[in-house]
Amino acid sequence: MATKKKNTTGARLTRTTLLHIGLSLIALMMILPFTWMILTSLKLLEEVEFDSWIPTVFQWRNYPDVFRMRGIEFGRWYWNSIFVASWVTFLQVFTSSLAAFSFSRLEWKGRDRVFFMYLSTMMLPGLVMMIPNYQNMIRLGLVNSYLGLIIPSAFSAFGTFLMRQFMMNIPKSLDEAAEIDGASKWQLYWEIILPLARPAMITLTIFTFIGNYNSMFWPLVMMKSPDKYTLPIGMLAFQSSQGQQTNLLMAAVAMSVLPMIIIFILMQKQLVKGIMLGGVKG
Amino acid sequence: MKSNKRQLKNVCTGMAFLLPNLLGFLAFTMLPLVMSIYMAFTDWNLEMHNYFRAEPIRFVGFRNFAQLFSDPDFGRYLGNTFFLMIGIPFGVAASLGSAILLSLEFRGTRRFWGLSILTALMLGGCVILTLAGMGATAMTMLMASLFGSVFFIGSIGGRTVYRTLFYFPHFTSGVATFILWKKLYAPENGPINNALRPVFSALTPVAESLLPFADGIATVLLGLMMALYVVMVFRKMRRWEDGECGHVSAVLGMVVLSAPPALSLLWVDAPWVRVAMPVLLAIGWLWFAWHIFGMKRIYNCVLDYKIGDSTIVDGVALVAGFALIGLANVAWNLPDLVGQPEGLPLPKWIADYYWAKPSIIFMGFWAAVGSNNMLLYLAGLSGVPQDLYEAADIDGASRWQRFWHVTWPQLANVTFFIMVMAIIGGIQGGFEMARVMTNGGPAGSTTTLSYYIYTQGFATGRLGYASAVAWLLFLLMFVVTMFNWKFGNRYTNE
Amino acid sequence: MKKIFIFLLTVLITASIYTYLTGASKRTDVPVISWKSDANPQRYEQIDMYHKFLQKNGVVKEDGSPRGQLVLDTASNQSTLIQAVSGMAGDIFDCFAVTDYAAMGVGVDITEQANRNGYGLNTTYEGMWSQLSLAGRQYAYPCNGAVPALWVNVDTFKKYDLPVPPQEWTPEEFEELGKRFVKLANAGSRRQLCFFVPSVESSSFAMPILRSMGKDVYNETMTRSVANTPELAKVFELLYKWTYEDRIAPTAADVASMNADATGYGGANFSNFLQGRYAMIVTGRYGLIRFREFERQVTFSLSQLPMYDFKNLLITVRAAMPYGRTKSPELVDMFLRYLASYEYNKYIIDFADGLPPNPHIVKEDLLQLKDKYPREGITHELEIGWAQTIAIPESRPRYLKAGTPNWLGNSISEFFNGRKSAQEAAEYVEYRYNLEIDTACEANPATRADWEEQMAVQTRIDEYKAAGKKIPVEWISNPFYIRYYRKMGMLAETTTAGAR
Repeated sequence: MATKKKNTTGARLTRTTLLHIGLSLIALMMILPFTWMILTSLKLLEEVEFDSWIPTVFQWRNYPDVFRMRGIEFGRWYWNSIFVASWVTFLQVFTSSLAAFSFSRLEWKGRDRVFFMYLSTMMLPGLVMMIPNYQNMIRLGLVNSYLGLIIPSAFSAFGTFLMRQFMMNIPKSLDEAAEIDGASKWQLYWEIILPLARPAMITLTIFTFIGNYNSMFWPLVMMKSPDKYTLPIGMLAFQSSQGQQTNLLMAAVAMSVLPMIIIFILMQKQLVKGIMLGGVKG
Repeated sequence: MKSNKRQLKNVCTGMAFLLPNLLGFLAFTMLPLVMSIYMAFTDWNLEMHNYFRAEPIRFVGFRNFAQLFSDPDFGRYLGNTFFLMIGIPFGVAASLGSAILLSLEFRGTRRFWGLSILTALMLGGCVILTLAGMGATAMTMLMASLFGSVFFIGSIGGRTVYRTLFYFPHFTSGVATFILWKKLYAPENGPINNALRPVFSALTPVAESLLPFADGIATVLLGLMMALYVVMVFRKMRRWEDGECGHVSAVLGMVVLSAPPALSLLWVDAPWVRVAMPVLLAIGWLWFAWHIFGMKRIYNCVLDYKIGDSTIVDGVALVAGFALIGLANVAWNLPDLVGQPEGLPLPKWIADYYWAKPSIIFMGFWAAVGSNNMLLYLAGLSGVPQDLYEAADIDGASRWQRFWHVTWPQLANVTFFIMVMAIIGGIQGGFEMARVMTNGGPAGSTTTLSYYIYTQGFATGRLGYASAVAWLLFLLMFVVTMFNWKFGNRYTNE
Repeated sequence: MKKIFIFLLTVLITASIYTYLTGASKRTDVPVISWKSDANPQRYEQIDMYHKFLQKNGVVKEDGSPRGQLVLDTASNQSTLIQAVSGMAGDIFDCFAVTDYAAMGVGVDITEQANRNGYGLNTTYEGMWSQLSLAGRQYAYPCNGAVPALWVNVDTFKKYDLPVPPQEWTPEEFEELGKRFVKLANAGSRRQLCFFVPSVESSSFAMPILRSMGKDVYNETMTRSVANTPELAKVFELLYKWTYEDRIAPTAADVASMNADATGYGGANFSNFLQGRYAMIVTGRYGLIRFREFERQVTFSLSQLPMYDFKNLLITVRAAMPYGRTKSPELVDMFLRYLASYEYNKYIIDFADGLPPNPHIVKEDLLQLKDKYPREGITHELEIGWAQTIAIPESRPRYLKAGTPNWLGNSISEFFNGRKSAQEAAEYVEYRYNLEIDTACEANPATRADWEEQMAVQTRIDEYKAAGKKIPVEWISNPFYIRYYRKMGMLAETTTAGAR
């Protein structure tokens, strides 16, 4: 009965059109807030609360104005965020891939037990660790320093887990072949496994970068000097001090979302793959 | 001897690779973990133990925990945390829905041309509409052209375009989008209320005409809630008799089902409720007890048989019950609402005690529709064997039956994983929204446990107490997750 | 792989060097101190003036530029406390009560240097002392302050031919005039748009009325809350009546449905006031910053809040507190001297940024203001006069934590929303504040010891009161009772009168 209907071209076209309309409507709901954000960021302050979303004259200068506001070091915050996130990502991918290599390609006693320990800490709420970690940072004198932001985030159980899952799927025969060729373990890791694990590395890179770029809690308690703020807490400071300037605030929001959008559009495919990799096994 | 040496060498190599990560792991995960447990049992307080003063830290046993339970706010914040989690099933359902829509067949032969022409027509129509000055405002034009563009790009790019657009909110969610939503929710001049204002003033006469029946409507709604309870209890008993539901799931279901009538005692002011609800509950539970102890059932089954299924159905009933109570309360307060000189008042969203939580749930929903969950479901859907659907078609199954008997069970694993992750996230969630949008207010209505930990630990400096709360939170998560594993796994394997 | 790795590493290291070289501390070769304050645009001018002050006082480099730099830190960051106790606060931070921080050892005792360098307590308002000092030692100096009172838009009253409100009035007089005003102002409009005052659903409106009846939220030693009195319930009911029955103050729903541009300093209340929707508004002098920007000039007069016998007003202070671990104590000292200097106080007077911290130094300038701004008349003299006479700070026990919710305000909301009766609401205030005190005592044995000691004092005070004896002034820490008992002749002054 259902199969019959499908075959008539007209019904099929209607069905597809309806499907597209439905999907477009949902998509519209998703992007409406962003549309409002962009349009508002181009308005004059007086126009912000008007019913109409469209600015009478597009105020492109709002964007450079954000960088010129006194007390708002937006450019610096931007730089800090990207800087910190880049270091964290670099270190985390590196240490995670090393650990994952050890957990997946090397045989040693107690390996699985250690791995289980890693896994079980993934369940712990981050808040449990935050408080003592902060105390340790005070002792190490790392409060209000970039190092204090980078180092604790440079090691991750999740990253190790993700990379391990991927490396497990690389055929074992490669290792044996390399061993016959007289390659050391380091060479095996560096020259064979790591290039093959590139998809997982890219996924982890995106996850870590975005996660760190967005992270708020840790910088909020760690950073004191305004010139060391990252974007999330910078935006918080912006909101609390100049938040009534809705048009400029929205320009800042738009700019702070921009890197994520760029990364997302460029890396979509890997990201989708990565989520499935990390999720389905979970 | 040789093998021992070799083994040692292996361990050394393994450890060498692991070392960088392991050191970090020990320093920033294990050590804090141990410290945290210790702190939870001390009076570590930044007022006394800080850079400037170093009084000895005292071990206080379970005092922090005792204090926690005697704190009148803690219960409220726990309640807030759970309340905000009501959004989870909606979010998961929505991502399942969008995943299903996205997985529907896209390849029509004339798809491209047909749709392109249609879009061109629509866009053209809009232009003509303005040119003719048919009263289309700039806003209508904007919406129409936005829709047109999405439609157009979507019809060319297909699935990827929609997936990208759906995924946007989740991907960008963070401080920036919370600030954005705070502005959207502005009660006076935010775009949401600007859009709702004409709708509400149009609704005012409707509400006014309903005024004489307000009490009646409220009573009917509450009656419906009670009826729902009776029906669900009845269904539960039937399933129990038929051996389709074990003891544990029956008791659990009863508890879940009893929540709306029990809570309506707190939430509804009507006097008759104070009599009716206890009576109803008493009857329900007596009947239940009589069934369990007094009856012999025909088919026996394991204690926790079908617990997942019943939990989901009961959960839906729970949410429906809450919704009915909420609507009844609205009807109840209708005279107050309509009594305002300017008609129905617009919701004040995050600035209002009662609206704040729904506002946050709604925002979360927006971000959850096209989240990772949608991608997981998409992957899951592509893994459903096509012949199962064909078999269902041959049996003449309707669309709904196809979904319920083929798709849903096949996706059970994914759903289970998503729910576990969402619940874990939900229990420790809410901090960022509270910090950025509401500061936990108004009057503590959006303070969740994680925000409470933050204020106690980092704003007030009671590290010991905050650690105790954090461990309690962990305990809660652990219990819920264990529950999920124990029963959920069985459910997914059925 | 190797190439990518090395490339990335090089980029990151270069970026690190760049970040290090461009950090704030590297941008200048002079010591930098930071001032954590609000983002009022005037702060920036005040900072520039500070740099000039440094030059004038010889804190300069060879080339004559100031040897020191002040930067503003405006983030309202809840982590202030945890950073402060970790050795990481701004060199100077604004706070509203030193008790929050001084007890933790974060502040420094500046009593001696303050007296030496001219920013001692006696240079500023007596009403502020309890917020600047702890146990007789000074820890901070005000940047500015305010005595919130009713600023009256005289034009609005003229428009309806109503008498301009007197400087002092009782709640009955207030209510009577208010009812006449809203009747005239809203004649002919379907929905009430004009109100006598903005929302009175606030603790700052309730407090002076309560105190005018001789009651406070806390007892004399501030060891216990004694809010559960018929007087407080009466205040609650009065506020309710004004809001819901007389309609001279807007309800929350009224406020929510007003359309005003809420942008700018002071928010929507100010625009509504200037547009004549509110006849009066509760604010301090700082409101003038906004009022003067408004294109339509308004004539002002100033009235106290309506109250009973004991006339009083609240005084709030924004205190600059030096941080114990500052790297440049010299610059901080200069900053506090700057706050007490003629330049700074003149600026505050002229640009209406609240109360000048050192009013004596600008007495002459103050008198000239009414010629300079005729529409503002004697409001300046009045407010600064009240600040020196009847203004009393909010009583804030040192046992309360920073960040304790405003339970008085919360309870008013509970009552207004029909969730509690007036008396229950008053009882709730007492319950919640006592609970806060208990919690704080339990968390810190030192606090507890201090609290117990004060409780013993309280017992003696109660005995004296019962016996009708005069109470020694040094027993009392609640600033309200000192003033009140002094007026009622119940206070035994010590030889060092006024030392507190």
